[in-house]
Amino acid sequence: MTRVWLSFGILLALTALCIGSVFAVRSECRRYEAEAASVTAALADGDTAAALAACDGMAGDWRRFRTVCGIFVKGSKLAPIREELEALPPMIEAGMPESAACAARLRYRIGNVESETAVFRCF
Amino acid sequence: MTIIFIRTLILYALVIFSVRLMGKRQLGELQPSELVITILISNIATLSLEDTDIPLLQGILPVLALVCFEVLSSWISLRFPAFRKLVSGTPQIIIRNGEIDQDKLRELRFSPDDLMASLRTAGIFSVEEVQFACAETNGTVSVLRKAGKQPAEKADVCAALQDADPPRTIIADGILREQALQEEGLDRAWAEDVLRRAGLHSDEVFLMTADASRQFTIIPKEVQA
Repeated sequence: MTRVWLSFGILLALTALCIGSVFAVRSECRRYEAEAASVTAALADGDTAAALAACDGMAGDWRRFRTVCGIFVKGSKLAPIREELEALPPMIEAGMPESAACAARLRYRIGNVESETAVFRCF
Repeated sequence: MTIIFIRTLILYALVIFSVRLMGKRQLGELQPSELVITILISNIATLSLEDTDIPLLQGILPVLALVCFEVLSSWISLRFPAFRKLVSGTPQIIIRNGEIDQDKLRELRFSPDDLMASLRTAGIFSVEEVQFACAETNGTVSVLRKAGKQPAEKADVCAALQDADPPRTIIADGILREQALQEEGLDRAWAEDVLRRAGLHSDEVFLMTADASRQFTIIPKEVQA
């Protein structure tokens, strides 16, 4: 019976971990996505300084985002986010028109990570 | 490389824990569900070992979940025969009264060669020797020989018999096993006395076995040149 109870306990813990991971990844992604949205908004307003400040904030938060999501999501899903994040500030500083597209891609990639936790993906 | 090494260590410990959790039943003949679990676990563990892109948790979680499902499923099987029948199937009689049930063999997709191979594994080389045979749920075939073909046992010749447990290992490679002594109703003092009479110290013993009736065997260590 010990094994049965142990298995039951492990299953409960795994279920809790799965539910917890969904909430943790989603909340991190949404927070990060909001930051990316603020970069996009600043670029749309032509406010380069605000866009750069928002980019700096995102770079600072990257470690936390990577730590939470990296436990549950494949590294290959996170690597492109870091690449976009590194490419964005120089583009904004140079006033390149592609920076808006880069910020949009960044949001899209963060959304991709969030969709990893969607239950409908089971099917 | 270091990451792969650490992941290997973790997954090795996890798979050992999983097999221990499944219990001894899973280490012998495998039931259909147990076979599936074993194959799946080995595949999942391999994937997580090879690919560092996959978070370790994504390897650990399915392995643990599968093992827990298996333990719970075997517990439910124990409690509910209908579930057991659904998961493991039922034993099928393929030879009854010395007659082969050919329909049953076809149903089980058992060829005559498969049947003969199973009989040979059971030490029977002629189908005429078989009274009864049953295909078990784990794929093995249990066979009962005809009365005249069964080997004689001690009880058949009315020998005076006394049931006794086999001897236990008391000293292995110089190390005394207290628990084995206790389980045989013996103690350290008895073992030391026996060794003293044999002119040996426990360090000098390669193997010592004894049973509850205090019959013992001592094999000293070979002296290396």
